[in-house]
Amino acid sequence: MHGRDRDRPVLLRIALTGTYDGDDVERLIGDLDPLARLSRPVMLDLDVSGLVSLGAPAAAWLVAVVERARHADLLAHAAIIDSKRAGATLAAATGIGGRPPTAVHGYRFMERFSTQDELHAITEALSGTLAARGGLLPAEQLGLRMCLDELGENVTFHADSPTGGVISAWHPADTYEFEIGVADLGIGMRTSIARNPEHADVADDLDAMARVVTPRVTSTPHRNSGFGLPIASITFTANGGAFYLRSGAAVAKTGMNTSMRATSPHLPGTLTGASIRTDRPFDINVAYAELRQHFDASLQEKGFDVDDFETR
Amino acid sequence: MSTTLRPAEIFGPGLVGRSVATPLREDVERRLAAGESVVLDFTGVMGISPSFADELLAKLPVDAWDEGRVQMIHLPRVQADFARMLITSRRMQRPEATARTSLG
Repeated sequence: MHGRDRDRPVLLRIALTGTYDGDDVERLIGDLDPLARLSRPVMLDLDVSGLVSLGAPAAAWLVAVVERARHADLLAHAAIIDSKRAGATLAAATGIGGRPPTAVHGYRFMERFSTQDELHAITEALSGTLAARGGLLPAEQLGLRMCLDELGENVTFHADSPTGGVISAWHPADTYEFEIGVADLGIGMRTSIARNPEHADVADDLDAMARVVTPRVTSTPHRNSGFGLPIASITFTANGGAFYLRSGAAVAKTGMNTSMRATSPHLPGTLTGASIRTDRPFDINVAYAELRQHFDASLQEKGFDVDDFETR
Repeated sequence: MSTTLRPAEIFGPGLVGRSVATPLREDVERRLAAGESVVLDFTGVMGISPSFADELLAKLPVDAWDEGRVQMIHLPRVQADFARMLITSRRMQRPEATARTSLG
């Protein structure tokens, strides 16, 4: 193929159908795979005629994938087919042409961020809005803000994503549960954790995921502590919600059915998601106490007395 | 000379974010280097995030904690225990990591 042919945009039509809530985000990752791995210019038709619902992690991934294609100058043209309610909302979020957003039955939030300052501003505002909608107590709102911040800092510190990250939230009207999602198309967990010489021997994506959810494991031990993901995971799970982590060919879920397994397709970057129940306590101190207990036990296993190390 | 710093007066009741904590830690370090003692008074703080605690507390010089030149007071119990764990975790990261008691 001549270079000129390679540069000529081809038509890429992707149809989103049905629901992409909760675990169904895996189906969306598959449906968007051609767009996520794009290497030549396309004219994108995103057909949402059959779309029923789009959860927060799914929305975050969609926006991140479109943004990456746009940043790489690979979207010669993009259009959303069917400007129904969902289509119009997506049009606004992705920046793809369409009608202005119409009213939705619930609250949807999507925002891109690149810097820590942007992240902190978003998590403060978003946690406030979700707390007001869900009737969270001030301490619960702060805990939610901290968890969102920790997930977002994984993007700003570890992802090396040229397009930053995306935070999304979705609170269907009249429900006691909302979802959040954080997405990036950066280097992914495996490449990131391998930068730490102690973890340069990481075997594959599943091995990398097992390591990064372990307390005190981080790609940058002198800058970061390695507690962010465990704290978010424990807090969301203790609330009765669920936590989802996807990078490369590995996926982890905590909640009713905790699991970690290899999967496909390969997801470039990292996607985290969580569901939060507003009818149950959301208490980050549960995670603090559990991790402290875990830490003390691990010291004792090594034959140390924690008091020998503890600062006054 | 001892200085008391109250993070809640600067940041409000929620202490969140690594980059937010960095200037405060640098301020504490300057005071310690000048021979001052520093009391971090967390009165009015509702919560401290892992990143903020790590950046502010755990990255301060270990000997300043050991010698009592820096202290933290009035942090809610569970969060204070967690913060002390972060400090200990950083201590163990050091190549020469040893138990405090054997440091003399």
